[in-house]
Amino acid sequence: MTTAATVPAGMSGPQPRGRRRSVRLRKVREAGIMSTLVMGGVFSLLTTGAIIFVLARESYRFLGEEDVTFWGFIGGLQWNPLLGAEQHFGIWPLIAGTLMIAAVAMIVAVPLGLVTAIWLSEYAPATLRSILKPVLEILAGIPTVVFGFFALTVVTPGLQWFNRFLPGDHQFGVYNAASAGIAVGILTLPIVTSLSEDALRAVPGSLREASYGLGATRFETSLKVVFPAALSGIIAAFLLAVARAVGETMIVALAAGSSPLPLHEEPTAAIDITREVQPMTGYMVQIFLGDASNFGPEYFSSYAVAAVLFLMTFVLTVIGHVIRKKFQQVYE
Amino acid sequence: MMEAANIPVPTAAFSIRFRSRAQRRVKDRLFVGLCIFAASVSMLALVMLLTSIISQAFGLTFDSVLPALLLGILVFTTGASSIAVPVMLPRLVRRKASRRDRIIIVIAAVALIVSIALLVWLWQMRTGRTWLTWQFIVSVPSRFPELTGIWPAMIGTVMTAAVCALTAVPVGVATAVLLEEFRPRHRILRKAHGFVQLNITNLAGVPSIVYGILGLTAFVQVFGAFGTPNDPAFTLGVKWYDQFYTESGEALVVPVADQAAPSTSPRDVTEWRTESGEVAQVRIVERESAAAEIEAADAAVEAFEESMEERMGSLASFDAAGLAAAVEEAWVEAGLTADATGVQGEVVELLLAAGEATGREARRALRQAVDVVERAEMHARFPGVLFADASPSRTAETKPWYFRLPLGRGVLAGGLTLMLVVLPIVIIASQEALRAVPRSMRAASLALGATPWQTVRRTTLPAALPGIMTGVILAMSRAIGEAAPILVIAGIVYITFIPHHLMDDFTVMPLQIYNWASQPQEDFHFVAAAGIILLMAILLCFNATAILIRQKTQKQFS
Amino acid sequence: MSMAFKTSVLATAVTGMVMCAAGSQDPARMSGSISIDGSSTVEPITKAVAEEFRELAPGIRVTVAVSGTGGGFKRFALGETDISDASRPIKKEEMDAAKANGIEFIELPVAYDGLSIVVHPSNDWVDYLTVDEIKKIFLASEAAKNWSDVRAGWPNQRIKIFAPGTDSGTFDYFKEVMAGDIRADMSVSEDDNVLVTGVAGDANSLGFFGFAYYIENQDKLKVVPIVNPKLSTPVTPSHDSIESGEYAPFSRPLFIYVNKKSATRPEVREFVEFYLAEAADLVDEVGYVALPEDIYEAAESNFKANRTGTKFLTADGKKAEGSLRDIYLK
Repeated sequence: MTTAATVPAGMSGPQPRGRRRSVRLRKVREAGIMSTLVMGGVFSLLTTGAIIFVLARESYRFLGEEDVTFWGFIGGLQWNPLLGAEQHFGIWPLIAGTLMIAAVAMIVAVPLGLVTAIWLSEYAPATLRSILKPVLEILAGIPTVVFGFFALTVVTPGLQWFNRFLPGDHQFGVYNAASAGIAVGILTLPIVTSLSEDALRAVPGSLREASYGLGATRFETSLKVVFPAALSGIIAAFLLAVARAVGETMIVALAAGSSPLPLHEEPTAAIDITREVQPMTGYMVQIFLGDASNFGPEYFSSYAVAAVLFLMTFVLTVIGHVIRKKFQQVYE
Repeated sequence: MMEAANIPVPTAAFSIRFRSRAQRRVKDRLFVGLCIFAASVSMLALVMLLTSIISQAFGLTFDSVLPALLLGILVFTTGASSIAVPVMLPRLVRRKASRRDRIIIVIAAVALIVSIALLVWLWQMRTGRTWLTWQFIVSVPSRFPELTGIWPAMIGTVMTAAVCALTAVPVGVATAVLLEEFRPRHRILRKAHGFVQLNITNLAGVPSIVYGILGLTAFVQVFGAFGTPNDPAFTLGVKWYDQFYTESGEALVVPVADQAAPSTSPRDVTEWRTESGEVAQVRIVERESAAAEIEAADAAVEAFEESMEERMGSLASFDAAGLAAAVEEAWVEAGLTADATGVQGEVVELLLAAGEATGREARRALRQAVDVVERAEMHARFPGVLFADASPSRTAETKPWYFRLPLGRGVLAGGLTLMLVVLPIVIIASQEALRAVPRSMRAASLALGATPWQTVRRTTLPAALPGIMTGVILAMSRAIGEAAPILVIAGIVYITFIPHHLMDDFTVMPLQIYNWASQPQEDFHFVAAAGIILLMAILLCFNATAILIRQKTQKQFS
Repeated sequence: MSMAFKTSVLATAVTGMVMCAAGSQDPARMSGSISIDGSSTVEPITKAVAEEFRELAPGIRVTVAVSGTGGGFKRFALGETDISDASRPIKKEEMDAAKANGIEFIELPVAYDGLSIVVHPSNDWVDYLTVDEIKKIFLASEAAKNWSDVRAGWPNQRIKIFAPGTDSGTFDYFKEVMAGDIRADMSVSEDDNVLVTGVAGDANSLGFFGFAYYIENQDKLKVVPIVNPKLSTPVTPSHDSIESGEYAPFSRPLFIYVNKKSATRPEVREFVEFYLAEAADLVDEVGYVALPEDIYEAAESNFKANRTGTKFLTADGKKAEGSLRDIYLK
């Protein structure tokens, strides 16, 4: 039933048109909309569930293959599913490769990123910050292929220039861990800088002013007051960057190589950044590029590796979340 | 979640040691120096990245490090000043610029002009070849670096990004609205809410290749529940045909049930139609009964070839007139029954082309000339005839809305996988945008008697829309740059066509760049650099739009 | 061009013309799609043919993927591809897998390849390698670590090996020649381009792949002459030494396998006939060695007659012995 709106005398301008609507209809419609929204929320749960389901199912199949045992997979130090007289499926060479690249990346990104973040939040004038923040965002959006290309064409030749100072056994080859690690570090640099800077800015000015009031210089304030106060956010940023570095695929596919570390023969290879390594993501790319319809243990091994990778990033993200929630200092 | 504040108590934090004022100030300055050094190193790394790519794409080669560094600094200056000037200009216009701002603007503008001028000068000095040309943008990939292009990859990127956007935005915004606006109060539901939130944060950190694996199983194969892509359980918008060609060159189509149906034999077909649907008169002839005629045709063509060979050897001059005469004589001598008009002219043209070309092209032109004669002869001797043992091609007439289940390695599967990758980003960005809407607006709406949903729909969501759009645009730029999930789904394939429907094979720009970058020939590295510049130009537009939107809306709420 | 040359060119085109009357369509008007997968060694040839074919028949879509010979056969046996590129003959297991799915194939050789062993250009100590030395490097049982383990007097540096992966026909062929399991600590990739980059970047490196990849990147690599076991002299792989078979034991034929059912489709017929007709020219351009005229003719006639099955496996599934000419022209 509709009724035209009656305009009280003396009012001018556009009048709201009123229409009496059934309350029940509205409630039904809103319930419908709510269920749509809930479905959206459920979708994200479904995604995680699907990932876990797919990885678990194929990993189960992998562990069921002959030649493969669970402990051999978890504890083994040799990974050569494709070559050799017999196949070995120990995961540690791949994990060591991933960690090596992530370590190099963090050595590059964290000091530079933190210092830049401190400068941006404590020292830089506002105009400069308003220019640099968008620049940082743009840099965070550069595709990873670009960094891989950069690693292969610029970083590796640059590192090879140092070969004249290095012993023959440990010279930088064309595929090496350091090159990929540096490129991943530059990739994660904007993330570390941006998130750390957000954490530092979240510290209220009153703390800083109190410190200045007590006679501290800017340097002492930044390092001894602001930085510890923002520590939880900074650690969370660091863990997010590590998760990103661990999961990086295209850079390592182009620059790191395809030879897993022979940990069973030389345990020290795990810290030799001049040599070729194969991280978990690099191995997965090799299998998926190689054959898409095979159903032997090699094919399923890539799912098992993906499961380990997923677990790693999951643990890192959860720890970061917990740290941020539990240790976050909320002021006022 | 508000928790008790933990304010650090300065106990032994400040160790009281007597340091002179000067010493502490020195430390301060040193630290500033260190910061500037760190920032410069970061900038330098990124500048070198840009420089190497730009120089490779545009054929700027350097003999030593110094010019490269100069180019890098120039690029950096151009970039920084080109960002600084638009950012600072509004202030100048609005007369809110301080003296320092004015100085900065002037410096930035001068730097911009000078560096552009120097770049143009350097441009004149280059010796190499520009790899980023219009030709490159519109060509298809080739085995020759000079001829290769990025067109199919660009269209593939556009299509998958569109699919990704259309699916990620509704789901993402809906989830964000649910999580922000409809927080539950019930204890158990609150735990569920926190769980969903944690889940989304976790999904944001999952490596993109894992999403590729998920997409492969869930979208390409659909868990194996609907058959294989070559034998799909369900299709929509496609009609399969077997296509025959008569000896006169007419195309005939016979509808078949589906892709996996057995090949039709001409003997079984009752009604023949052409491609346009008209009924065709076709004579089915058993090949054995026509064997004699076929042999006669072959013999005539061979005779023509031999007599052409003789005549070409004794040609006075290798030109059109001489060749035409020779062809006509050989034609008559060989007893070819085909209609000579047009065909002879074509043969002459092909032979002329063979004469001018060398090696492979010459041989191919000759083969084509003989092919033309043979086709004409068969057309003449067997008009409207289809041999009973002819085999058809299986073709499909696909409507633009062609859909099949399982999806197979198509654009739709790729776009949906990218949707999975960007969904957490869209959700988190939308949540922040919704959070930024001041509570007073919601309170006012509720006070006027609106239901929570009405509040969201008419007040909060429109207010948060610019922030949401910014987030969506940034998520899209992430999706465009992702190569790993597409690698798992589509693989590295040599594709020279653009996708015509959502189930078609495709490739994307980052993957094409990866393909070129992994070739050892240096020229392909230059091509990859050109592709990277194109990709980054597209991304820059996206990011610039996002920044502009954000800058405009930041004024709204201040 | 002289008249004599023109007529001789026309003559060769004529003799090569065993056209049958089954395909009377104008390629320029044809449409359809062809799916090809398989060896990374053969891929340059197939890609070149596909690119040239596109000028002739723009309506026919050809996609070429590179999963390795083994990977390509796996998909071929499932009926997913029309043509499989292979740098070795089909194996018994692969043939059985295809038969189990009702897939018959036509085997067509397309080129000769000399599997080339390459080192970095600055490597000045390797003048040639004997087969025994190669075995010393590659067999899992010996797996020489340093160059000095291979021959006395060579530097005591670690050998860095880049090899094709196990899905590669090149790897299978190499393994057969080595007659043993291959060592595990090599850098492997199905993509020969990755191997070229690897060898070209490391002074102590050693790698092997198809001859065309060496020819394409001659400026970055140095090829190693191999001592022919029968002649006891080192032979450098070249167009002539591969064609004559002097470069041994690493001269091998390259193949394409065509699904018989796909071969009934006009576009596939057109493509394969074009392939065999253009192979002599394009193969040389790509860097491999063209087969002699009579082998191409035998391949063309086999294709026209739809002769299925492989000649490289005996009745009880063993590998046939002999050169390509002996086996294929029987």
